[in-house]
Order: sequence, then structure tokens, then C-alpha cells
Amino acid sequence: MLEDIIAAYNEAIFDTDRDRALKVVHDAELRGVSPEDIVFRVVLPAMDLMVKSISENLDANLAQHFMTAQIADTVTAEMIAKFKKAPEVRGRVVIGTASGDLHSLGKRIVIGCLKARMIDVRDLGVNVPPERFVDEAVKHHAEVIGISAMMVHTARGENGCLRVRELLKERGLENKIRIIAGGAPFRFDRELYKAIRADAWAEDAVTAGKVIVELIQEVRS
Amino acid sequence: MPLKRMSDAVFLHDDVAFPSFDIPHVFTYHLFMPLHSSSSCVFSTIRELRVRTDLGITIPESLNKILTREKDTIAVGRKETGPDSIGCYGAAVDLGSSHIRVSLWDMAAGKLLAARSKVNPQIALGADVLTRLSAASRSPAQAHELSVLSRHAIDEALHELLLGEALKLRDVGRIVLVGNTAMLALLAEKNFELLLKPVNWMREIDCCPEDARRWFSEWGLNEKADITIIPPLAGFVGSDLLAGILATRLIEGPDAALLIDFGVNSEIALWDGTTLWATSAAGGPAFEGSGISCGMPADPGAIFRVTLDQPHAGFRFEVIGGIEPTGICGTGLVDLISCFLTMGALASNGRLKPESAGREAGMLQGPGNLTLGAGDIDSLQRAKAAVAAGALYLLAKAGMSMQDLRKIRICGAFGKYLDVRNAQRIGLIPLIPEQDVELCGNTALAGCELMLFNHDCEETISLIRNKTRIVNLSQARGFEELFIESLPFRPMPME
Repeated sequence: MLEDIIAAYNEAIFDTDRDRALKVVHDAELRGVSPEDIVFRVVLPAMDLMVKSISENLDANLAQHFMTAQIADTVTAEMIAKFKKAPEVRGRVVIGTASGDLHSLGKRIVIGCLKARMIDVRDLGVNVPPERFVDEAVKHHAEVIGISAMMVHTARGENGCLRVRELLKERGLENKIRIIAGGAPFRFDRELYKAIRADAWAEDAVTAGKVIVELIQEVRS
Repeated sequence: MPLKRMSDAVFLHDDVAFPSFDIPHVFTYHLFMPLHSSSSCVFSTIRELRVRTDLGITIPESLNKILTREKDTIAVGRKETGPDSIGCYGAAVDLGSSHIRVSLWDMAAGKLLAARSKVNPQIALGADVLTRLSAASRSPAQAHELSVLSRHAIDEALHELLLGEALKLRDVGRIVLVGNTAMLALLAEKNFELLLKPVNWMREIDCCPEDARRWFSEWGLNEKADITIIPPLAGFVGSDLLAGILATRLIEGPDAALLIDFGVNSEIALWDGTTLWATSAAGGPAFEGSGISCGMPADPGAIFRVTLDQPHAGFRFEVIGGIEPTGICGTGLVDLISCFLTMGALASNGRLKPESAGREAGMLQGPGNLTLGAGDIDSLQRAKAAVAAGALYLLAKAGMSMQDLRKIRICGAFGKYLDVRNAQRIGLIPLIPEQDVELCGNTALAGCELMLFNHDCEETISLIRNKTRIVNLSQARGFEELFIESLPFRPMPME
């Protein structure tokens, strides 16, 4: 039965049909699927499937990514309220757009996906100075700092990831906090994340969720 | 020969190297000269001239003569030259990011002599504007080189034009230059780093060169020559848009009008009757064919029009220059998407439909064996959504609905070849009656030429500036929502 539900949910997402996706979820609930199963056995596998589609270069446009994140976020929030016990927080992340950059769409998609994965996310907003990335990460015990940059000069800028790295080093935090970077420039230059001294990057916001989970596991081990 | 002269006039905003063009096109060339008794050149108002290459129209050599168009007669006012008009030749320059366009005029006769379009050599230091601005900010040597590159390009174009007319640079009495802010800042070699900071995106940027006279005189320009560089509006919104507003007469009268100049950064201006709302929407270079697997700029070899050949369910297409196609340019891509929607190969949300013919492993098969993949469609969606959302945002800001719009002016390369119906179908431009959407070609140069002939254009420009409000979409609340909603290929919502 779950297979059918997962398939129906995925189809709705790939068709960017929000109403249909939500209907699948509510029908599942009525059929007795537990809120936990809805999140962990429908929504999250659907997200992983999206990641797989992206990597195989199939159907996966921005509209689909956005919908994936948005619905996942909405459904998860609704389901968590009905969990038998509060879910364990799987990690903590602070995320923001680099200094001089005002783009927030990519960041929003990442946040939606992370929340579905039970990760505590603090959104620092846009045009975030490097000091703030680090201060907030420390304050919230974050394992990962996510930096979004949509333009090459904000990705490479001296007040971007490079400075965040310097600050982590200065404060002896490098083995406690990882940096992930993402945005359009990173797709055109796949080595860019190394040049700006990030620990990792992601092709797109949906994939970022998965990479961040891996980074958190790295830090915690 | 009348036909050749007509071709020259018609293609003055086109790349002049390709005059032979056997496909009918409509170009709208707007001429507007305000009456200024105080200046040395006096014109009276003349009305809009619409030219079609497939009709037998003769355009006289001088603006003094009567122009005939189909049934109508358009009267042109008299022109008087002042006593101190030195060097009776003038040049208008549109400094664009990818192309520099220059036109040479006989100021006394009011006659276009020739025009040139050259690729902007700054491309060598960066395909896009931000790359060039960063390069300039990081290194004074690069900043200098960028300035020199654009100066030389203008110089070269001028020289070629003058040579062709057996004239000397000393004969040129007036040059007027417009451009987007980044280009002007790089030309003047100052304040380019300001454009990289969001805090300056609503502010006026001083792009006035410290000493334009010095480098222009290096070329051999007459010391008494008048060189005017029209300052940008604010932030990234440059004087090219200002010139476009002038040329299309956008803010004349109470009719709400929208102007869109498509490009990597599409400039959008909305006149609501009292205020001119202007913005720049960054959608990426998809509509210039860049980053699209079958894409290319609107050059020879580019498919610019695609229609479905109904009986055979194939494609019929038209190519610039009438040669073998090598790719598809922006307007062709708009048509292609519309065709795929009709064929059922593409869903409006951008998803490729597996069941339909023409789909193969995540690709759509287009005309001339060109293919379009899912990634290409995503890029086109984003480019389209940026412009659509920009237009919708300005409408909302002005408290207007789409029904209030009386006219739309399309500028740039799209302003030559765009199929209005297809553009409206995919939601690229608002859905108003087709006859109210006008393709205007390169309005930046046209507006610049008007300023060339009007020494008192300062007043008109001030007027435009005073009525303009710049909108910064990247800081606009609700813009992202509009953008996401505008991603699907469907007509823009009516309200």
C-alpha cells in the first residue's frame, strides 16, 4: 500500500500539483498510515527520489524543486504535531546568503528540505556578514554553516565563505563546524567550493539537504 | 535606388553586415522631435513612422520631405539649422554589454548616413557584466583595459562609418552616448565597484568621465565638438532605458504603457499615467541563447521563427540570413516552446511528457535536428519567470491590473522577431490585445539619435528622471512568490 502512496505522492510533486500531493497525504492518514510513516516512508523517500532524478538528469526543474521543499515542509510540520513523541533533532544548521548577495530562493528550498529531515535550521537571512555566520553557528550549536551565493563575486568575495573559513580557523572551530556552499556559480565551476575553502557544495537545493545530513554525521562521529 | 535606401533605414538598428533579407518584417521607427525655440536646431513634432519591407514604400533621403505610408501621409516639419553649427555630422552611440551600436548622421539634412553594430570587445574580460565589474574592482589595470576596450570599439566604429562616407572625425560636431550603468561606469573608469554592493542599487551612480574630451581628442575629434554621455537613471538601470522611454514616447499621455527590453538583464518600465516605474530583472542569458543546448544569439544561422506544419506535424522555421540553421535564438525558442505545448510534448509546468512523439530520453527533437533538454527548459522557465514577475510586480506597485495596460513596447532583439501570440501564450508578456503590442527594435539607439538632434533634451530627460521610481526586485517583498508562480508556461493571470 505504501508503494502506491509513494508513487502517487511523487507523481503529484513531479506534476507540481500541490493540491493533489496534499490529498495523497491526507488520504493516507485516513487509511491509517501513521504520521511518522508519512514523513519517513513517503515524504523523505520522495525527496531522495527527486535527488536521484536530478543526478540522472531527468525531470527536475526549479518549479519541481520548490514544490518538493514547500510541500515537504508543510506536511512535516503538520505531521510532527501528531507524532507519538517529539522527534529527535538530527542536527543543527545555520544558513544564509553571503555578504552582498540578496538571493533567497535557493536557501528557502534547502530549509524546507532540512526541516523535513528533522534538522533544526536557523535562517540568517540575506547579505549576511561572515562574523554573523560564525557567531550564530556557535550560539545555536550548529554543525553546519550553509552559505548561498548566486553571483560569482559574492561566492568568491573576501567577505564570503573565505572569511567564514578564516574565522572558524581563528576560533579553533574547524573540527566542530562544516561549511557547505551552494548557488548558480558552483554549477558552472565545480571546483569553486574548494577555491573558497568550503567543505562541500551541492548541485541544487534539494540535493543540499542530503549532503548536509552527511556533513552532520561527519561532525558527530 | 529607393529599395536599397529603405533597407538601410530599416536596418539601421540591425547588424549592417546583413542587408539581404527576403522575409517580411515590421520595424517601427519612432521619430519625435520636441519644439525648442531656444536651440540652434528646431524641429516640429512628427508622428510615428511604421515601415514594412514587403510593401513598396519609398523613404526620402531627408527628414524634410514628405513620407508616404500606405494610405496615410505623414508630414515632416521643417528643420532650421543654427548659425554656429560646426561639423555638421553627428554620431549616436548605444554602449551595450554585448554590442556597441553607432549611427552616423548628417545633422544639417537630418539624414542617416550609415550605422554599425560591433561586438563589445570587453567580452574577452567577461561575458557578463558582473564579471567585468568584479575584474575592474579587483585590478586598476583591468579597469583601465576595460575602459580602453570600449573606447577603441567606439573609435573603430566611428572611423569605419566616416571612411565609408569619405568624412573625417573633425567633421563630427556632436556625439551622444547612452548605455547601461555598468558599461558607462566601466567607460568612465569610475564607481564600478559601487554596482557590486546592494546598498547602491537604488542610488545614482556618477559615471561622468573625468575627462571625456581628452580621450575623444586623442582620436582626432574637433575641439569644439560636443560630447554628451547621458547619465544612468539609478543602480543598474541605465541611460539606454532612458533613451528607450524617449524613443517609444512611453510617458506621453495618460495611457498606461509597459516597455520591456529583453536581455540577460531585462529592463522593464511601466508608465501608469503619472509615474514611471523602472526595474531590471535578472533572468539569466537563456533568451540570448546562452546556456541552451541548441541556443545561439540572433545572428545569421539562427532560427528566429518556428511554426508547426500541421499536416505533417513537423516544424517550419525561418532562419536569419536564410542559410542552414546552426541554432535557435531567443524568439525561436519562444516559438518552439509554444509548439511543444501544442503538440502535447511539454506540459505547462515544464515537464516533458513521455507519451508524445518527438520525445527521446529526456530530450525534445526540434527543427533542423536540434534538441531541447529538460535543463534547457528549466533555464527558459527561469528567464521567462523573471521578466513576467518583474512586470507583475511593477503593475502591483502601481496599483494597476493588466486590464489597465493600453500598450506594450518590446525592445532589443526580441523587438524585431518576437511572435506576440506565442509570447503571450507562454506568459512572457501580459495578455493584452495583440494590436497593442508593438515591436520596436533597438530603442536605445533610436532614443539616443533623438537626443543627438535635440540639444535641449536635458529638459525632457530631467522630466523623465523626475517621474521615475526605480524598483529593486531583489529586495522586493513578494517578488519571489511571483517568480515561482510565473515559472509555468501559461498566460499571465489577468489580476
